Amino acid sequence: MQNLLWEAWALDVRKMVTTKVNLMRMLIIAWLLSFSSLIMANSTVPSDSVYQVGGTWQTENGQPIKLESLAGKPQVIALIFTGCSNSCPIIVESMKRLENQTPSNLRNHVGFVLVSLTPDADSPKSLKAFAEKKGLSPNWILLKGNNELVRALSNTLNSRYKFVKDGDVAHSNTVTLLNSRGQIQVQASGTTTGIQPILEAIESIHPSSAIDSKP
Amino acid sequence: MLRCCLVMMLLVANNSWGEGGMANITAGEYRPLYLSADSPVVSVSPFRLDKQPVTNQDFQNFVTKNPKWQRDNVPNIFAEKPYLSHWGKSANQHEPLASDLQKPVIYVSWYTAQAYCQAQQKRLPTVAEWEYVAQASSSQKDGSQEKGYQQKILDWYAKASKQPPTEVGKDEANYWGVHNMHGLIWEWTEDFNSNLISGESRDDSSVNKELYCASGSAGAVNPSDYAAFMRYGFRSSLNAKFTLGSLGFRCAQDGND
Repeated sequence: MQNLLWEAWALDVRKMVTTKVNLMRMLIIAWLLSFSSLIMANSTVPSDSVYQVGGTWQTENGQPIKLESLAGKPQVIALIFTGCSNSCPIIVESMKRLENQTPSNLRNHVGFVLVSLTPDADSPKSLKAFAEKKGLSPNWILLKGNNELVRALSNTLNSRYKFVKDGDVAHSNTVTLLNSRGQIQVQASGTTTGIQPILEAIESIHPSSAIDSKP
Repeated sequence: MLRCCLVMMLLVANNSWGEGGMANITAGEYRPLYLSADSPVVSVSPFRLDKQPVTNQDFQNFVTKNPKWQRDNVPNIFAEKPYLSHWGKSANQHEPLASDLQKPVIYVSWYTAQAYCQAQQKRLPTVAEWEYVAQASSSQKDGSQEKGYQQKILDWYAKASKQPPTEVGKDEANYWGVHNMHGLIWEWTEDFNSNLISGESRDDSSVNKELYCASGSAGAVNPSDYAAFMRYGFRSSLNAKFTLGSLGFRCAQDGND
C-alpha cells in the first residue's frame, strides 16, 4: 500500500515538477503519505501490547516521543519518581545490575525505561538530572507523560500506585520485561534478588531475535 | 444575540451528551474509612459529576464516533472478551437492545470507561470524589449516620446480582441531585486499585499496614460502614481490563460552575 503510494508519488515528481500547481499537488501527496505511515505504524502494535496505551510522552531530553516507538527491541520498564527515597533507588539499582549482567552481545540491544509517576512534579530537566545522578547509560530512557497516560500504562503493567501525603507515592515495585513488540514477557519485583527472572529471560533471548526489524 | 448564546451555553452545560447532565459538587472533606481516626482527612476539591451512570445509548454514541472502541476492534489489552457482550448484533454492528438504551452500560473495562470520559473532556471520578458524593442522603451531604442509610445499601448488596440493572435515574436523587450511587451498579473510579496497595504483592514500597487482617476493621474510622468496606474490597479485586455485568461508570470534571 505504502509502496504503491510511493511509486505514484515518484511518478508525479518525474512528470511534473515545474508549475506551482504541481508543487502544491506534491505537497498534498506528501502530506497524505505522512498520514498513511502514521496509520500503518499504529496498526502494527499487537492487540495485547502495552504500547496500545499510545500517547505522546517526553524524554529526559525534552524530546516528544510516541510510546510505540519503543518497539523494535526488548525493553525493561518500571514506574518511578525522582523524588522517591525508599524503593525507587532499589528498583533503579536492580535494573542497573540487570544491565551489567546482561551478556555483552545483547547489552546494547535491550532498552531500559523509567516512567515518572509524578508528571506534574517532574520535568525533563529533573529526569535528566536523575539519570545523570544515577549514572545511567545511553541504553536508558526516562519518560514523562500526563496523569491519565501514566495511570493507563501502570494498569497495563499490573502496577498500582497512590499519591500519599507529603508528595510521596506508594507504588508497586514491579519491573517488567517487554518483548520487541511491547508484549509483557516477564514481571518481577524490583529488588536485587527479585529481579532474577528477568535476567534469565534476557539471557534466553537469541541475539538474532533481539532486534526485530518489523516491530 | 447574547441571549441566544446564553441559551446555547446552558444547553451545552446541562446536556453535554449524557442525558442527565452534571451536578456541581462543592468542596468538602472526606475521611477514608480505612484510616485511623487521627489520620488526615482527604479534601475533595469542587468538581462536577454526571448525575446518572453512562447509559448504553450514551456509550453507543461514543463507539459510533470512535470505532477503535467497538466490540470487534478494541485491543485485547484494554478489555476482556465479555466487553459489551450484552449488546445485540445487527448488520455487522454491535448495538444495545432498544429496551436497554436507558439502562447503564455494563461490561465495560476501566480503559474503555476512561476513553469515553476523555472523549468528552471529562475523566473518571477518584475514589475519594465518588465516596464523598455517595455518602450523601437525599437531604444531607453526609447522610451516612442517618437511620436506615446503611441498611438500604446493604440490602442491595445482599441481593444476588443475577438480574441485569434497570434504567438509570429512577431512584430518589441524593443531596447533590445525583442518582444511582447505590442500588443499581458498581462503578469504575480513576484510582480504583490504589487504595489497598497490598494484595498479591508484599514488596510494595509502602503499604497501609492498618489494613491488614484484624487491625483493618479495628483501626478503621467507622467499622460499621460495612458497605464501604465491601466497595473497597470489590474495587481492589478488579483489574483494569475486567468487564462485568454489574459494573459501569459515570464521568467527572474538574471545577464548578
